[in-house]
Amino acid sequence: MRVLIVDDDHDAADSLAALVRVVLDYDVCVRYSGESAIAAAGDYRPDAVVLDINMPGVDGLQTARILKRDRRLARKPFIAHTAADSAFVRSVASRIGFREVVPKGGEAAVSDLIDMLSDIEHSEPMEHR
Amino acid sequence: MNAGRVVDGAPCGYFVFDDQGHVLDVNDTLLAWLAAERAQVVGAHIDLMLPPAGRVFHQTHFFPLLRLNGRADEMFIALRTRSGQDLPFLASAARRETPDGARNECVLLPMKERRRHEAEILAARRAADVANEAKSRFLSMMSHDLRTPLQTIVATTKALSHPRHGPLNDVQRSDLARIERASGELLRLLTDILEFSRAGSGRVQPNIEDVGVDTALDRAESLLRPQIDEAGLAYERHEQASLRVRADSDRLQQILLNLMTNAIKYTPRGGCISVAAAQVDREVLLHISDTGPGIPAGQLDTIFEPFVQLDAHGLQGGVGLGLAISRELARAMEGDIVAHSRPGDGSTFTLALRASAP
Repeated sequence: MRVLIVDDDHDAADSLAALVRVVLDYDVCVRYSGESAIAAAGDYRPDAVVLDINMPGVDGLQTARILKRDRRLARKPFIAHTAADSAFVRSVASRIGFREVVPKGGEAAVSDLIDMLSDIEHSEPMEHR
Repeated sequence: MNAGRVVDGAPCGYFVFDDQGHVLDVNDTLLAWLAAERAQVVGAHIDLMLPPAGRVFHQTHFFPLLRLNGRADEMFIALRTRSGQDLPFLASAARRETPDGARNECVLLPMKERRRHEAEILAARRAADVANEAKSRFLSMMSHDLRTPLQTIVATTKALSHPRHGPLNDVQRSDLARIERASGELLRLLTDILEFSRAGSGRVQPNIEDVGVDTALDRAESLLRPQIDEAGLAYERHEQASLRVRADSDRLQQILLNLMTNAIKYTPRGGCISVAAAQVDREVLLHISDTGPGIPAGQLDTIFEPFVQLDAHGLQGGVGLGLAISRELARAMEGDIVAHSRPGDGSTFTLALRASAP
């Protein structure tokens, strides 16, 4: 299972990546901007994408829009991971096709995120290269 | 006219007009304020003393009121001086029938100072609103921005605690547990502050619907049951059947959890938490009572102020925003929360909400 994690806060991205690797033993690709995530996604072919929303340049919502144009990614689960967990962000995110919005911070949020990724592995048909 | 009348020297304006609006009399004080001669005013139409907008007001409000009720009290009117300046007055008038026709007698007090004070108060309030809004925005931004580093702390701690990361000795394990507890506490504070800044800025828009009281209480009870048992408390419920309130079910839940958590927190082992609900007229009252130490009379109001906590017992946790938030939420749903207590006799918090239409 391959997970693409995108967050402009390096520590937030790296710590989440470390957690996903150690708890779930998944393969993780970390990118620190929307632009670099878009550049990496085609080759990496993630099974799930975790995106921060507030990022300078191409933000998380816009990144998701662009990634979802790739047919191979269009049906993959996208998870928004954001400190700006407002009703507005939720409604836009769901329109773009995010499966979940997970607020940043706190034990519950981190556990939820891990559970979600683990559920995805068990429910989605994995691609075999 | 009659020189030396008392009314001429009075420190208020005075004039008389008939039902057609012609001025019959005027005192010297008013003449001085208007910088006019008696001959210019007496016999003339009242419109000459009024600015254009005042004429309309006079025709549509002042006059009809006088005819209908025989009096008009504490009306605001502006009069125009001969030099074209408008002066604000507080006017009271009474209508009197005489053999010569109706006399409308009107007394005027200048309001220039008062208007200035009013303007100052309004400006001060606007400034306070702006400052309050800025404070709310700051609190909300701050609690957002602190979430990302908190996220890093939590995720890293969790990764370190995982067995796959490598074995930990007992000291390391308890150190990590301390970081976890502290970050949990930090998140709770941030959530409280964010919630409070939202509630305080009027940005909470409750989604009002009919909510079953029993469903709401069931939900709260199932969430808090472990805490109640752990604290060694009894729990009782008394409610009228099929009560329904107009509320946002999530906000209602938040209030109930807050009030019940407080009750649990302040009640010593062996005590009892009881919840009662009943409809009184068009309101449903939910009483959450405990057998804790109670609240001193002097603190019954201040506990709803933000950042205030009961200082007794050395119990803590939270920044004291829970009740402030709960009250804001209740008010956003057109309800309210009040506290009753007698020291040594426990406390009761009553949440009042609008009952659903039958």
